Amino acid sequence: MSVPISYPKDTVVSFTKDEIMFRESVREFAQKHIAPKWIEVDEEASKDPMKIPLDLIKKIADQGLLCIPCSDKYGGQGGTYTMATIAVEELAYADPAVALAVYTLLNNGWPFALQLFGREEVSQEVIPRVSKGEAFFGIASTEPQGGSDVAGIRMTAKKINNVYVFNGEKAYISGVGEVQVLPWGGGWFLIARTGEAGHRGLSAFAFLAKKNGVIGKGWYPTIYHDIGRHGLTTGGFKCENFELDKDYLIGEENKGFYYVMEGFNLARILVAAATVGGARWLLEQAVQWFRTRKLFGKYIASFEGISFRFAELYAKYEAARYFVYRASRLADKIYIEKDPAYNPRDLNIPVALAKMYGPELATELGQEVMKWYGAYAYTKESPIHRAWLGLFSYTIGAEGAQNIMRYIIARDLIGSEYMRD
Amino acid sequence: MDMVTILSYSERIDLQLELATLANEITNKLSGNSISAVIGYGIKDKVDVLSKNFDKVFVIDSEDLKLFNPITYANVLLNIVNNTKPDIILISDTKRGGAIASALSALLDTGCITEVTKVELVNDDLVIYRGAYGGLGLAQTKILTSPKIIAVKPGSYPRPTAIKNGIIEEMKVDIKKPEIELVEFRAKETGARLNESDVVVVAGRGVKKKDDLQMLEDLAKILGGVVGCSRPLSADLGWCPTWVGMSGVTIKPKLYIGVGVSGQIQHIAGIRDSKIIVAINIDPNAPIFEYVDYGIIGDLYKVVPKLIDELKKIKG
Amino acid sequence: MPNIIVCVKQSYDVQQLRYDKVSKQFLLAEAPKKMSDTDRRAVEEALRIREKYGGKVIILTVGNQDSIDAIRQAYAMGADEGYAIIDKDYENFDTNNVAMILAQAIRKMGNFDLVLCGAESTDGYSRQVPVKVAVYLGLPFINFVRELRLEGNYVIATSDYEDGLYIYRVKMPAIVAVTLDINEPRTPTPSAILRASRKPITQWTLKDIGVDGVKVHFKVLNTYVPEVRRKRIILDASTDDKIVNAVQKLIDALRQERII
Repeated sequence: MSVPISYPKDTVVSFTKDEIMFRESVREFAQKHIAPKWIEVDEEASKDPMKIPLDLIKKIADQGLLCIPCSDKYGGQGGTYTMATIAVEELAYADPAVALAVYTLLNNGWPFALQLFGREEVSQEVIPRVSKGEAFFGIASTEPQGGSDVAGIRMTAKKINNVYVFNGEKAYISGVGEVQVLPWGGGWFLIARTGEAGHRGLSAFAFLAKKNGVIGKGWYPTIYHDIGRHGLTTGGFKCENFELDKDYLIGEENKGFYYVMEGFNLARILVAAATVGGARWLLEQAVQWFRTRKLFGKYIASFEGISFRFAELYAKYEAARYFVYRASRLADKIYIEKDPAYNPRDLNIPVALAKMYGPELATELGQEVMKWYGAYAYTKESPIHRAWLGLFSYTIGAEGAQNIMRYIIARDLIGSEYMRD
Repeated sequence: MDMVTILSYSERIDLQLELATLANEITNKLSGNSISAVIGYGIKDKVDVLSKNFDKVFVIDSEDLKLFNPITYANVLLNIVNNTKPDIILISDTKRGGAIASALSALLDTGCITEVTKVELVNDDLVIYRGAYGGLGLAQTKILTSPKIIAVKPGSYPRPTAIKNGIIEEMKVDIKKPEIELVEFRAKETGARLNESDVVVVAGRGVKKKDDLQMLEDLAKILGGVVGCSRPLSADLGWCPTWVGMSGVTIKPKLYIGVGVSGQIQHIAGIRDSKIIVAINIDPNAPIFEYVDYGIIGDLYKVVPKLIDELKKIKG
Repeated sequence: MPNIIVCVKQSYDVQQLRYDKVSKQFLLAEAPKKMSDTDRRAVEEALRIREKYGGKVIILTVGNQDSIDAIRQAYAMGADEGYAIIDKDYENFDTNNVAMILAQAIRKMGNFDLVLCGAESTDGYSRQVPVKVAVYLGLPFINFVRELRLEGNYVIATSDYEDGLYIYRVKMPAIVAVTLDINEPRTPTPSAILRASRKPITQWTLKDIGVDGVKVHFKVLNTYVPEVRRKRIILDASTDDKIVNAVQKLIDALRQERII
């Protein structure tokens, strides 16, 4: 009987009793409801991206896996950020193509950022709907000209009397389909220009493209066909004089850059957690294969080219997992326990390490596992390519490109003044 | 221990015979008496075969025993225990038997071991083997009190060749009926006796619909065997009256073929003692492949028909 | 408005149990534990009865400090009260001891209509405790129940035996042991888990329930992993050609084994 890699007696990452019980609970939920469905979800939505698994989203919501760190007064779970991290890791383990894990991570990280920086009335309006799986709330920052250059954002939000009027275009945004099909609707933590050029002229909004089931005027969405992670839509939208009540401004005008950077730090922890969950699934596929596959009359793991490589990748997996939970513990100190000894900037390096390391490990591992499996892994029948393609998306973008993570680590260690031309 | 008295009970005559084998094994080494207890309603004319395998057969046949309840049955059995003063009580570990053994153990304030697969005599004392930790392990145990109550898994011992010529004695006892009423009985279709066949083909979750069991029947027929189900097919889908594995039937045929069986540990615990284990499964990661002599990784819907064809060629 | 006592056991999670490859001994100290699978269903069933008919769900366990976690888990599912009888010698207790302690505790708690148990524990699997509790309490007992409902003061329970389903009717108070098939237990949400950890648990010693000590009726000499000697010859049948080859090899092997 093989014991899955999924059961480390954790010594490095110390979970509370509540978190351990929660992990068992979410693991059982995910194995019962998500694991048997993920291939079907990935396959169906690969043909039609609008085949969004609404039934599973509802189940995830009913299980209390959305808005975990949000206050219970907004219909959140009143949990720790580490609980959200556990939920995402376990969902990704059950759905290594990560569509549902990413749905879950977005709808934990960004509602929580809304709660931290937004108006109370807005949290009261949005979070309960997101928590029940009736609305989506993600992040909209990237534009067609690029994603990493947040300070270069072009979409404008002009204040006219009591409304902001939006013009411009967002691209490669997760949830464009979900906002349209979920009954209440929802939108994004959106960044638009309200002032001067550069990062000091940006504001953040709770941009609700659809609320109470009604899509706002002047909002024109489009859906893309991704190569993987099917079941969560990616799309873009244009705003042509789209109007939003001024109350949906998050925090102060022209401070949006700072809010979104903190939000990115939070969300990146969960992105990295998804890649760690997927990586664990990949490792288990490898171990199972090693225990059955023989070549030249020997188990293939008897070839050191394979077993040593496996050991190296396992080391990276443990490191990635450690980075993830170290960052989430720190997030708990800062945002849940509000420990005055810590401040949000302390998250920069721990989060960048996790977000740099997790996706790269998962992608590298996916490739290796496919090579170990051989030609079978290249057939559509094998599920491994689905995990690999899904996880690969997080080396490309999503809450910050990989080189941005490297930049953050280097900048904070060396000093930004030594890194300019 | 010299001159032991062993009392055996099972609600099924065939399982009583298995207990007779174990009882004989012990009384052959330590001289003693092997007694059988038969209790129930309308059973007294079925006990002749037992007299050929036990020294004495006690029969309690009463309409008051028509409704089964383990506590009632244990209390009735207690009369025979008090009468015969056994050192060892063997009960076959069916669902009914295990509960009777347990209730009797509480009534007599003595030790009871269930899930027993083997009993050894070491220095005139019994070492009792039972499955442990969901069938993953084996525990060697000892009962410290007397009488020792041992509930033996069906199929653990073969049937004996009749050698005795015992006395049958009917007993009348007072029976306190339980305050329980049977509202309805829904019989399960009684399938083949899985633990009596030399070849057992077991269908698992990989078999997509009930009609497909026919294909397995065909395979079993050629090999002179029977078809069984894994737990989900029986308990969840109701395709078979019972299942192979822990809490179902334990089997040890000469040949076991698992078709689309993934091989949960509870299933493995029920087939572990088979002579040859074969599995056919499309999933190379199915845990059953760790326990097989021969494992075929492939689509059962292609492999089984081919296997049937080839076997037909041989067997004509 | 029935008061239901549910007896639960914190078991080793046998799916995650590891053993030493050399000594063949189980590594119990490091093994994770969880509430027994059938006990969880008993808790779930009690909660469903409460949802329909009202009343209270009270959890009872015997064990060491780890068994507190089983009550926490039942709380997270929604149970109302929890009692744990803790004893440092618990690991040596036999089924008679555990059943007697449960029966004593149930007597002390009083005021109950129904006692639910899992028909067997995940790790021990002896199926002995529920019926013994019934013997000690002198109450009617129904085993292997896969369907349960109340009708006034009566329980209607479907027992699953080898030959068929027996539907019994019994007046409460009664003791019912349930099987895995009775329901799918709920998985608690984060907020329910957090609430559960703040809820008090009553802890009793053996003395508190009037038990002076226990007499052990049997002992385990050794528990080990039996040797699996299997050939583990794996045949690839992923293509039509390979099927022909694999089937032929299997038939040759079965001939050699003198099975055909």
